[in-house]
Amino acid sequence: MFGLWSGFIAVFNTTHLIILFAGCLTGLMTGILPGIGAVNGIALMLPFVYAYSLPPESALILLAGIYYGAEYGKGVTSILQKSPVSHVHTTQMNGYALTQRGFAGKALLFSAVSSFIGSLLAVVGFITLKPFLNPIISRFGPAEYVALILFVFILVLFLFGTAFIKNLIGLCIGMTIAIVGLDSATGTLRFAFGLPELYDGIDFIIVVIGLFTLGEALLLIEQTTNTRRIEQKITIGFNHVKAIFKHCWSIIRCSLIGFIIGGLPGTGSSVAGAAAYHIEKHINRKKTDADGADEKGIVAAVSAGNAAAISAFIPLLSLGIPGSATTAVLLGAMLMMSLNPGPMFFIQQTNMIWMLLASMLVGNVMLLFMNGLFIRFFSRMIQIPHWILVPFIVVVSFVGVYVVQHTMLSIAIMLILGIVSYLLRKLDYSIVPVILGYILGEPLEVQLRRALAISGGEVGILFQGFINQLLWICALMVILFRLRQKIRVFR
Amino acid sequence: MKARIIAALFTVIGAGLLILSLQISVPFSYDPLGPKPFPVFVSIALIILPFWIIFFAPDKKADFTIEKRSVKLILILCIYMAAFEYFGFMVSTTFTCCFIARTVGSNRMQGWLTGLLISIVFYGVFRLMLDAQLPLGKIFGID
Repeated sequence: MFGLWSGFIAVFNTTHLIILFAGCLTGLMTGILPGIGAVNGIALMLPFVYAYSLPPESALILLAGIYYGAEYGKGVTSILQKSPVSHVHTTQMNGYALTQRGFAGKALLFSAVSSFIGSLLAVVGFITLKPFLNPIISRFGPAEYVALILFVFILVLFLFGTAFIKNLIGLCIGMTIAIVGLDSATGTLRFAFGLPELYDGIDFIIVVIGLFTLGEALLLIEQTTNTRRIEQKITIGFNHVKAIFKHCWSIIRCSLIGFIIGGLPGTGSSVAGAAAYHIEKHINRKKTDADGADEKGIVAAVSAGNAAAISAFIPLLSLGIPGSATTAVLLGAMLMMSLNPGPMFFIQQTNMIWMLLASMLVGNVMLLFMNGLFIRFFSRMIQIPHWILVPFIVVVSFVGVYVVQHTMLSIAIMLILGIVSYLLRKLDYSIVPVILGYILGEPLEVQLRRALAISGGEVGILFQGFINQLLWICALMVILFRLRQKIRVFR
Repeated sequence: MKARIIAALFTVIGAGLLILSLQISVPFSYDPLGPKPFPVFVSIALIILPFWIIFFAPDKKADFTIEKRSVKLILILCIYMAAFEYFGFMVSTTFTCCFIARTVGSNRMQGWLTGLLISIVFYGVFRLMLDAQLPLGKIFGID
């Protein structure tokens, strides 16, 4: 508990409080803006972090704030807007149903409070789990890392989207981008085409802005007329506040489900939200009426989604393994700031982790107030016209990439990646395997070469030890589970 | 059909990368694997995997239409890239933002205002507040 107290002391200084507020506000706004979301919010903020030379701990507070702030914002958009372009998830189904019946304020209140409790419980879960993680993660050597990265790849290949082959192609594209540049062990140039600008590889900011931000701008420009929003006055009454107490146990139960699922790589908040919603629906199948079912649907999906967003930090910080596109971007940003998440970071940089956890607690309180007091203002942001949004995104992308390398080649690469990302998305490919391949490609190769150097070239080292065997069994189970599903569909 | 063409393009890129990978030569490596096998493996995977899409993938969801607006935006971005250093940040950004806004559906006034405001605000934030270098324009004799 002393660690958490020192974390609070570090957070409660004026600079960190302003940065935390800015992060939460940016996250909330990017979450609300349709088509932007957490991953683009973080990508758009990276040039500012780079140009302002923020200290790593401050940058971490800011970027984490954007991540969990966007989860709050996502709920607002799902409730107020029926859009065929946004991800169809459970909050959308239930929240929009309540909005159509004139209860937008009630749905927004439920979403804000469930988000807050979900995040709060997940932070408490992280704090409780933290002492037990050290002995496990300290046993991770190169072979264990290889097994873990391959396990993450298998999860992503089988769980993201529906097309295994497309995911695998995406992974290969990501790994190809990661190969570009000097090989760190031997100094050999690979895929550099004789261009000195590529000797250090393709910069993380260029890849993220190209794949996500610019790709999104190209998609956004096609969707200008597709959104539909119900116009109604948002009112929050005392009876709405009272009504939320009815769903207390559902929120706690779903937060726990979200916490567990979010800690697994390859899942993310949407998967956690959907899983919690289905479990909750099964538990309450005979008890609730239509209104009650919709309310439960919101609290289940939102609390689980927010808890998952927080627990995704556990594998990210302790093992340096991202589970989703957003955590992959966060990992890349941390590496850019010379923070190397992993066992050493988790064991040695405890002050920074306590500070991050304390900032999450404070940030969630800030977000609850922002949602409660200024929701009418934020809800209007959905109506920001795309003729302001798209030029803004384009200029941030260009300036962001230019301030990092000052070369037109970097802008050209970003543009190519943006077009590739646009085409891939149009063809129903997921970008998640691409970014995970890019972020985890280099560690996979480095750790594999280290492991084989230790074993003298024996591949058997990857299957020795309890952790390796457990990871391979889990990977096999994922494959068998997916195969079973395929066979069922085929029959 | 377009999905198959793009998949074939991946195969061609994979073949090109495989040729480059096979040319990697290391005089001495401390580890048994070295820097060559990983790119070779990834390139081979990139050659083989698209064949599944070319020959076996169903066509129903695969085809898509690229809207005119997206093509227009890509063209505007290419011109913006070419003009960025030559005409400088302020001028190129004002025109680019105006053209993009017009493409998305703004009227002429809104377009010019968006362009002017975005270029002034970004120049102010990045150049004056964050001290980042932004091009002033070679055409004006300032680098």
